Amino acid sequence: MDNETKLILQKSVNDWCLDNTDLIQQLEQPKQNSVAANTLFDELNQLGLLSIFHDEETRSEISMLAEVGCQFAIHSASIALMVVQQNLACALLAQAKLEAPLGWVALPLYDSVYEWSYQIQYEQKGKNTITNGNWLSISLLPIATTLLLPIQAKDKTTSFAHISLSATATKKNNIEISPAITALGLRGAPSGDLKANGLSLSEDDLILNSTKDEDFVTNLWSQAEIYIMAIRSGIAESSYRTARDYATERYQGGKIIIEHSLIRKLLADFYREKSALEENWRTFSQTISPDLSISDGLMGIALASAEKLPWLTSDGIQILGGVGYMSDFIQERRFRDAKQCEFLLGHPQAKAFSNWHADAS
Amino acid sequence: MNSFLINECAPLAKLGAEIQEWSFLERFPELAFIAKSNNSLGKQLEQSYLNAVEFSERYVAPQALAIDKKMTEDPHYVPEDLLKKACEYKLFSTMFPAFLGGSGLHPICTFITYEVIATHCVGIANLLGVNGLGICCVLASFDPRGLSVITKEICENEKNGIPTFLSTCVTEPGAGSDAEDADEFANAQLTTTAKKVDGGYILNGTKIFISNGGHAQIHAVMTFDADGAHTPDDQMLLLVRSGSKGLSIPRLENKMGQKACHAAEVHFDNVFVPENMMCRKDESSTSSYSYTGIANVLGVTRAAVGAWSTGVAENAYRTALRYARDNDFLGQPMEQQQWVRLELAQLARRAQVARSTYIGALLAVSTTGLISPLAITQKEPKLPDWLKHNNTVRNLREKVLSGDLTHRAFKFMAQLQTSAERDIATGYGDVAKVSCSELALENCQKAITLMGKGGLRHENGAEKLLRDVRLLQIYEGTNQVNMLDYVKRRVIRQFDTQLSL
Repeated sequence: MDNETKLILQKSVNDWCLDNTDLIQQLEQPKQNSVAANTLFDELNQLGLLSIFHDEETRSEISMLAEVGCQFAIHSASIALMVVQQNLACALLAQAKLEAPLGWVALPLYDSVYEWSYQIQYEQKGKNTITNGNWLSISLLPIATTLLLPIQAKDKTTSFAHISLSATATKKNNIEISPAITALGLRGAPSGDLKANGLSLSEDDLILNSTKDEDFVTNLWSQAEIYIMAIRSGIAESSYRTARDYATERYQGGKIIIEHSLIRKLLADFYREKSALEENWRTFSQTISPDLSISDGLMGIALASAEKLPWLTSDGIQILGGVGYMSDFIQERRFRDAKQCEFLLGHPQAKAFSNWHADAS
Repeated sequence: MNSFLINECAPLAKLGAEIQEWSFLERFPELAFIAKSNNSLGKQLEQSYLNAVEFSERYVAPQALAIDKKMTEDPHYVPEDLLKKACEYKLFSTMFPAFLGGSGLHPICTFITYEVIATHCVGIANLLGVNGLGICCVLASFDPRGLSVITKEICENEKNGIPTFLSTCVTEPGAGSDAEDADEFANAQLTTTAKKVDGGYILNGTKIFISNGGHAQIHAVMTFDADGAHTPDDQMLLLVRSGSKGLSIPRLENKMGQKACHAAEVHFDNVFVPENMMCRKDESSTSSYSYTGIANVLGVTRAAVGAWSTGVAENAYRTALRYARDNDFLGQPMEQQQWVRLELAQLARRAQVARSTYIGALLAVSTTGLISPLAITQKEPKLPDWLKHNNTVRNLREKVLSGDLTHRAFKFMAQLQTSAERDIATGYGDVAKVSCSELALENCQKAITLMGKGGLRHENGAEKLLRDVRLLQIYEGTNQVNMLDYVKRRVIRQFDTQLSL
């Protein structure tokens, strides 16, 4: 992506967010707002931001989706996640030669590829796969019209079940979907639990069955670390900006806050870290190939960003003091979102183990 | 993947085994050591601990998450049943001396009580315990008249099952941590003022982030004399009743956590405060009211934040432990993996370090700080019951307490405290507040990280802990302000020649 396109993209997303502050506020309320989520889908779909990866021409635009994610995250990390997740789903559907969906797609974004097989029980009966058990915290499940559920097939390769989530379809398929769970952060992008009571999946329901497809899935999930890093960078950016602006406006101990060297140090350290976060995803998004998984080193950097962000946004609260703890400046939301983001694409320790596993063996 | 994840250890306990509460000795060995040399104190401490455990397990733990959720939806909700039970357990009067109608327990009993409650919900610990901050402010004025007004009301209501809240109004829209620092107080942009009029004062101003402000029956308001030069010597403490004309609560703040204890904005518009509700200024020529007063208060209240933080750190450890007992990681039981056990041990270790730190501060404050007089004035004079409840005797006692002679006696006791003693108490309070709150935050972060996506879900408890814990680094002065204060109290004192203190 050239610099001019990048600037246009940044401005477009920023302008859209500023024009839609009410919608963002409605989405970020503690209680799920399906109407707002549907409005958001229509708005973003019209802009073409939800199917970047469905389009043959833009499927390889890793840096474009990362940029979009980062810019949205400055205003709302929930929306950033929804955009990224929808594009990941589009990529999976496009790989299976299926149409882009007309509603949100639920994906198990809080589990790494290595954790998928431990979430739900599979049993092979003839040509059908029967699933039982609970898959917890599936991202966007309460507002989605479609679910892409990873399935451990009989030959131990992973495929995806393509499940329609209309009320009649869920009854037919023997699945139950919980209301949105009360989560720490990213409340605008609600998660829900899936309960499978003998969910029977025929071969027609399963997509992406080949070894090539499995590589595609593994690479896509691996590359998604870049988008999540970009979202983290957007959260850090907004927390930093709010802290800096607050410090230049408010008084403490008889002088403007930013005139205290202690605050300057906090801000300088914050700036250093948030700049490093940004540089990391920007650099790597230009270099990785859409056909490969990210390197072990980049996975290490992604894990470090996941660990770092909750502490950075914690400092973002501290600079504002008591005000930072209240919802007025939304620093508290960034802190909550930051911790929630630590677990996107799986448990950090599971990812660290899997990253190291090849080296150990 | 599974080739290097092995069930290396036997389960931690039998299937279905519950986590048991520690005995007093197991939880507080430092205090148990002291109690050995003072049997009476030992009994007080142990009994307080057991009462707190009973109250917390019966009434706090079962509804902590539900109250958190309820008050997120409706910040005006008041958990009436819980408060009634708190009255039965005398949690509103634990820190009052017996001669003022309180429990007569050693002040340390209050702190361990609130650590235990905070182990189940720090928001509820704040709801019940924040009265102590107001009490300390009044106590620091060394005006027994003000103290008598408050304690009488709180204790009598408590006996009748009516919870009484005292809010402490310090923070203002333009003044936060600087208003909670003895030296920076004069520079803080505090605009609330009280003007002397016939029979009392007229109070004007706005206070924010006031814990329990929305339902407090009495507000202890830090203010300046409107006719003064806005120096520390013009500072005063007024006790304002909630029904006073001109007092309003414009809004309840939307806090991230500690939902059980709401924070309110309290507005005073020409509120008349009678003379007898003003805590008198210290006219000592050796030290200003504000410096000694605020420093003394902070020594105690910052140690209290250390106790609450320790409760949160302990809660984070137990929450992760319960989760590890019940859940798998990559298909293996978490509790049976050595790396998980190491993480659990680190969580327990941090809670233990926090506890030792705040207990150390408490011992310092009990020896040299504000609560040292309380620690030696616990016993009520032994009077026959008919005399104790005789109205004439009670009135006489109140007159004595509110008289100049008693005020002077209290001031004299206060002046016995050297600046070195004050700095020890406050410096230890600073360390307790900062260290314990940081350890608690680290525990909450690490507990969630260990639990993974399960840690983000409300029903598992850890996400509430992270929202709750973040306030502990902020109130009673931000941790940074605490550390700058520590430099004044302890670092500068290490030099043989000092510029100023």
